[in-house]
Amino acid sequence: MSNATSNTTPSDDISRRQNPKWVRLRLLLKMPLPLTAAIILILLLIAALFVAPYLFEQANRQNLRLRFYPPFQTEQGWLFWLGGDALGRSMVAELIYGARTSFLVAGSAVGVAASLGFAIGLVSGYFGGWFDAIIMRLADIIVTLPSLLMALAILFVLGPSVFNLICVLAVARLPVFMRTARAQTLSIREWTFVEVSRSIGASPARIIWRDIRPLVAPTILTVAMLELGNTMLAVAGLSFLGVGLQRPDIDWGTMVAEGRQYMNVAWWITVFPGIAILITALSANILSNWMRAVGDPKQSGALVAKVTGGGN
Amino acid sequence: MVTPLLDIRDFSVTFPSLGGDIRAVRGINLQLGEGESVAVLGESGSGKSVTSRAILGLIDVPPARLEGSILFDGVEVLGRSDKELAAIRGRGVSMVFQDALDGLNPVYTVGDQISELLRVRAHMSRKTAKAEAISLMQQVGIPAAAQRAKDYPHQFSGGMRQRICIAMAVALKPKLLIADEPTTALDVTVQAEILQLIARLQREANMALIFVTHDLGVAHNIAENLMVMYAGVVMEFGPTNAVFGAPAHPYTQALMRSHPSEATHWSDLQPIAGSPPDKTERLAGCPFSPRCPHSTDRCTKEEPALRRGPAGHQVRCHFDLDAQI
Amino acid sequence: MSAPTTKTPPLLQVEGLSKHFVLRGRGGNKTLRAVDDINFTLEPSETMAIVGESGSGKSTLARSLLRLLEPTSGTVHLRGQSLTDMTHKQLREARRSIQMVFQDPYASLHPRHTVAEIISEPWRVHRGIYPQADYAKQVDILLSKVGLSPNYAPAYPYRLSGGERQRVAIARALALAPQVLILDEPVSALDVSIQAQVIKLLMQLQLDMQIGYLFISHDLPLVRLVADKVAVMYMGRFVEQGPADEVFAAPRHPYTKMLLAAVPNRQNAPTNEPASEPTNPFDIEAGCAFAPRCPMAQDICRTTAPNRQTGRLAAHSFTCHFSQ
Ligand SMILES: Nc1ncnc2c1ncn2[C@@H]1O[C@H](COP(=O)(O)OP(=O)(O)OP(=O)(O)O)[C@@H](O)[C@H]1O
Ligand SMILES: Nc1ncnc2c1ncn2[C@@H]1O[C@H](COP(=O)(O)OP(=O)(O)OP(=O)(O)O)[C@@H](O)[C@H]1O
Ligand code: SF4
Ligand SMILES: [Mg+2]
Ligand SMILES: [Mg+2]
Repeated sequence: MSNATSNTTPSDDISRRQNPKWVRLRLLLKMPLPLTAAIILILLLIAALFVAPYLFEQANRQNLRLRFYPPFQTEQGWLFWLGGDALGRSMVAELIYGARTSFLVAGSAVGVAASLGFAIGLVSGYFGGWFDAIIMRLADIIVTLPSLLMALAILFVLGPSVFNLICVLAVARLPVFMRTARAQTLSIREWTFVEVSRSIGASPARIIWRDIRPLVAPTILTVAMLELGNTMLAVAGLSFLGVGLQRPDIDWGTMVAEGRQYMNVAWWITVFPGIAILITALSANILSNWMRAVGDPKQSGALVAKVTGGGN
Repeated sequence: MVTPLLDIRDFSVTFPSLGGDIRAVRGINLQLGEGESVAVLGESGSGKSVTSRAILGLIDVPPARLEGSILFDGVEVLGRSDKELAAIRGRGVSMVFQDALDGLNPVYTVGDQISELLRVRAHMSRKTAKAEAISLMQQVGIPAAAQRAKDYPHQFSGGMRQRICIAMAVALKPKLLIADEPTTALDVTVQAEILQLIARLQREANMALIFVTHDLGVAHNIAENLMVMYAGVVMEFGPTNAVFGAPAHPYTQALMRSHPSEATHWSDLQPIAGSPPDKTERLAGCPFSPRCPHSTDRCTKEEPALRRGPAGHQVRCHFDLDAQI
Repeated sequence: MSAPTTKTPPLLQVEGLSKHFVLRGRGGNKTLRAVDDINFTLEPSETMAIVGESGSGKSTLARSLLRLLEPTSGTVHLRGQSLTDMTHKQLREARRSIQMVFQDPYASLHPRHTVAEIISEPWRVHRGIYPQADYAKQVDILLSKVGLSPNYAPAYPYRLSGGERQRVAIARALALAPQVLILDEPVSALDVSIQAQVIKLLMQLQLDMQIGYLFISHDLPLVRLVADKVAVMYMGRFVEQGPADEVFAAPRHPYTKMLLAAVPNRQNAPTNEPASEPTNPFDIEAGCAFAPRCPMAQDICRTTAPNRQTGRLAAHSFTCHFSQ
């Protein structure tokens, strides 16, 4: 930093500090890896939200002439740049449409599981007692049941639908979040600053919200990002067994499952959706790590120094 | 001359921040031979902990900017990777942190933590390590040590946690012990025991000691040399008796005047007037000049150098001032 | 007791307060009497100091008093209202008038909150003290009271030194203008000059606002300057208690004498006599808890628990078999 900055007045300091959002944005713009991850996720999200609805028909239109049409050929137009599948449907359209379903199913399932598990874990960890005991027994039960089997049974009874699928997946992933949140809450609860808040007269709700939540959130976020990829694959497993998504609803996982049998004839049917899952999971992970670092005042200090040339 | 165990030269630490660079330490020099000891006194925020942590390579770069050099046992500490630093620490520096939580892991029992250290670093067997851990806890005066070894850090009182940190720091018989306010939470009798324990280790194992404290009495008793810091620089340095006998720097003098034993009622307490300097500012003259009763024009313009003062030890002041305490 | 009913009740009255911890061990559970049968009163503008060795139960006493730990038995009355009988909701409201500065300045500040957020938190909990728009200004005022520049308001705790943190903690405790302030080692992390400054500030505030202080400290020279009353704690009990001048001038309990003799200063060298090991807090044997370390102990000390005796002044009491 130059000498000039040492002349900043205190008020200047405060006003610049008071806008941490801008500081974070500036930070993001200067770091290539998380920036790339953010751009990828945003593009995928745009594709899923705004492009996919227009591709529904293409994603399901069969064209037997284009069965196993190989990728990277331009004659059939951009829809077939990534080839055609076993029934001659456009891979590009399927991938984009699949993104929509994947994000919808995996995103909602993980979102529901994470927020519910986070809340339950915080509360049961903070209060302990019978509530905690019941909740943790339930979590144990869910975990000991083979989740695939359970999902299979439930979906078989309820019938496969996007909503049911989301519910079943959310319940299956719930214990992970509950346990993580609870374990961290248990140790944070013992710290003096929690006692300080009590001594000020803060209510348990406030303590959980102001003191404990911000310290547990980064971990939950990281776990959620990991679970996103896992859940996408879990959908594939269920679809493979016939209780997941059915045409015309397709997602990346289903595509991987469908393509597997043609692996040695047409690798691209499996590999492209596989790569899509991988890239999504990876980007989510990178971004969550970055968010974690930025959220921690100590580490974000280091980041600020890095991008402002603090090492001189 | 033999190379000293610890050789700190022109050492500075700057933390960049959005409000300007915080100049926490500005050009410190210190040489310490085996078995030698120095007590560090000084204002809160004057850079005592930052310097101590730097010797163990515990300041993250970036954000911090370090200048100068710190040689431990002839090896440069600054700019090392974590792995190299672990090797250097393995050669014999340990630290008692001011922040007792920094040294203890909340999820392991204290007995496990001490014996783990002994097993990994001193290659003791599980059984000897456990026995040694209990004996160390006894040495720092934890009653019923065998029973208490099974407790977690939050089940101990503030002073007990501090003592456990001390036990861990001396467990490996280091060549240099850096103790950052290790006795602030201890009552006088336990404090006396800890000071004796440290003194004994110094004698028996020829251990060198850096002892940061705010307690003038403790500083006087524990170390042969005294270093007084203010705003990131050394203001006075010399044999403890000489500095206490004839404090030559106005800051040291003012510090001694503000000690509670100089007063009979709280209203007689004499804190140093004014407030500590803003560490983001670049001062032209003596850092103490805004608060110094002897300050002149020269003081605000020209930074005094550390020089031999009237009583023979080192002082950073333009003038030869009599001790007036 | 036939006190006239018109008399206002004491600011803080503690009767028979105990806190026992049960520690699980292989050889069965053991009870640790961290705080045992504590009695005292505190009036406005009064400073009562609690001194005693590390682990004697001072912090636990403070915590049980505030019901941060549920006391095992005993009562605490704040202006005649029983804190120990309150519902949690009433208690939260009552905590406005009884605040505490915690011992460890490193653990008592939330790592994700800025100094300004930390100091203004009490106002967010108890609404209506200042309008929200004034928080920043009031934070600056409190910061300057404890000798920190407003520059610190946006800082996060990780970058503050020990002394800077402790001053933030003091500023937070003052934010609610409490009637009773419990100070657990409030200045031991500060250099003597800032110590003097903070002490003067606290004592001046006491004069202005008639706060009652419970001052936990190891620093006997400092206690002597500020305390009106002193209680000496040993293994969970008050072994000596009385007006500060009297206790310092004529200590009666051997432990108090030992403490006073061990104060390091620039004259004496560290005591070279081997200090005896603190007593095992689990050995709940008959006799005086201090007997194993007491230079005056006789046979009776090991067999019979001493009773409370009164010193020259009625308010001065101590627990020892011998009166000298
Ligand atoms: N990581 C950091 N980032 C920014 N500033 C820092 C950091 N660590 C320390 N400082 C600042 O450096 C100065 C010196 O801190 P240090 O902890 O060394 O003080 P100290 O002398 O140990 O004080 P005390 O006696 O109160 O513990 C302080 O003003 C502190 O705010
Ligand atoms: N949560 C707890 N569980 C079990 N034991 C505890 C707990 N908290 C405190 N203790 C024990 O109670 C005793 C008194 O502790 P306390 O913290 O009150 O001491 P203190 O007088 O404040 O000491 P210091 O001056 O060292 O802070 C100690 O033996 C401590 O280990
Ligand atoms: S140089 Fe000047 S201002 Fe600094 S201590 Fe000496 S007399 Fe005071
Ligand atoms: Mg420090
Ligand atoms: Mg304590």
